[in-house]
Amino acid sequence: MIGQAFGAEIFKLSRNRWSLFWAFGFMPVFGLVSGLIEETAARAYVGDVLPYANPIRFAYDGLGTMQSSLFQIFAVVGAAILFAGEYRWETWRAILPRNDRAAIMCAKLLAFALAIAASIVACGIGRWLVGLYDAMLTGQSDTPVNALAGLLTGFGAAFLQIMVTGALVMLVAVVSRSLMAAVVGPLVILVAVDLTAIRFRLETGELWLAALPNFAGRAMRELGLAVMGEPDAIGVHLAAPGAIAMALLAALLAIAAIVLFQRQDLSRE
Amino acid sequence: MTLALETTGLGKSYGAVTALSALDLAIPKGLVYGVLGPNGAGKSTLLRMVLGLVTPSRGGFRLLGESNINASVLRRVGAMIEAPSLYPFLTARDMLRMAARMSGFREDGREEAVLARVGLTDAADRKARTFSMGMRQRLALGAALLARPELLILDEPTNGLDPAGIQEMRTLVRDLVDKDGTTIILSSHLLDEVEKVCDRVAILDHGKLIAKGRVADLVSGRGAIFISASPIEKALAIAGPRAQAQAQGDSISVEIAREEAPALIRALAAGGVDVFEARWANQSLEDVFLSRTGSAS
Repeated sequence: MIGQAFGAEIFKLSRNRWSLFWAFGFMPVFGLVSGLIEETAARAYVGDVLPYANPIRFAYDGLGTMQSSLFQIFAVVGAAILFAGEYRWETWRAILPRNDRAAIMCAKLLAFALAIAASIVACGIGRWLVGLYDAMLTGQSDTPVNALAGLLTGFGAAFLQIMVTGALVMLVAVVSRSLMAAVVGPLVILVAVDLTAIRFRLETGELWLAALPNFAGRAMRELGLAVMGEPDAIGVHLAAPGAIAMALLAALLAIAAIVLFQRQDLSRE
Repeated sequence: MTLALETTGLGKSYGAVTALSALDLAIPKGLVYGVLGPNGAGKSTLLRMVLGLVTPSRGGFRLLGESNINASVLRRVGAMIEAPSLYPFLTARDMLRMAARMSGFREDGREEAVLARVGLTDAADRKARTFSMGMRQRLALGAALLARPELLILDEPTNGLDPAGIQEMRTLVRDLVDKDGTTIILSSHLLDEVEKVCDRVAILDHGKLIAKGRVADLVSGRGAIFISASPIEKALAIAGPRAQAQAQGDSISVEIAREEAPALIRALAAGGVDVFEARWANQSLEDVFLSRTGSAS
């Protein structure tokens, strides 16, 4: 059942090209284009700040692009289209008799996970291309040690952090039955968490910080840097509890959304 | 008798509001069953409960003989509830492909056959957001038909269709039942259409079942006799309280059972009334509906 629902969700997403681009395709394109412009302008007006470029490090930074709350707005929009679109278009009644409720919601979550994973990887590839361009102009420094492990850690950090956001959108969509609320609600929560985080610093290494996705994501990114030989990485010991906390939080939010949806009366979507 | 749907004390309440009180209904397979009722009667609530969109507050039902209603059972049902439910960014063909994927249904050429059956072959690659109401209605019907359902639930299927489209829909509904053996539960406000296409009906009002049976049984034996007679005052007096003078002033109508008509005519003749014409008119389903729901003015 989940496989069939997943196939249908991916099919729908692939046909909703305009939304697909803005939700999952814009950030990689933006990262690539803005990076090329930035490097060209820097070369023209500032000169070489760093003598050698490292494309792997560029790719690593690219993987983390969507971890910023500002850029997560695109992921939030993508999640809202997936989870609240059926309420918006009143299409629940067209698909619910064809599949199991829980299977459809799980399929939507899997479709979001696939799309966001592709988007994160594309962001990484985009920045890697910027790094290659920079290296072409200035020369290339040595590839970091354990580059693949570092990149995978960076990917995991971004993926888990955005999956928490996606699961939050899922829950808000089910509770509110509104596309607008599914976008605005999670964004307000992301800003609130960011404002709260201003008062704390990862450098303190307090364990409870791992419960906040933005700190947990950053700790995982620091771990990725440490894996690649960066000596000044901070809060690395929070990476594992942070990863567990993000996975648990995403799972709890998704389960809550599925349980609520199982009981939801769709007398009017 | 095999039943497509059997409800036992089925009901739904939203807070203090009862959308459907305890409904006992048995819908046999192999016919067109009409569910009638004014707005707010509980028709859509009943259909949404059957499709698993709304959870019953009380009672239960068996669908196609199964009491455990899951996706496997619901996949044997095709449905079109209220306004057509379509994705604006999908073409007609893609809408059917998506529905097939969601249902786990595969049959080569089925999408094309369904598009042809609902008359949308020429619009197969147009996005649903560009469709007229009638085309949307046809596409939603196509999606409902796609997986060759045993039971088809149609809520107001002729909404937005032009007269030719209504005629086609009527033919399609009868063909599905008579040739394909599909069972159809049809809800409509167009009572003339229901009378033409349904074998049996149930009439709901304020969440309660107030009448059910074969259409022929509901309308037969009930009606009025129209009598052109003179003097009219004397005819009215003999016919009694069920008689009404007609607007043109030279005739009366009397609501009686058909078998009472000869006796009435004999009584008029014996009373010295000249009877020029007597014409029997059966009660229509609309008359039955209005009289049972109390909507008659």
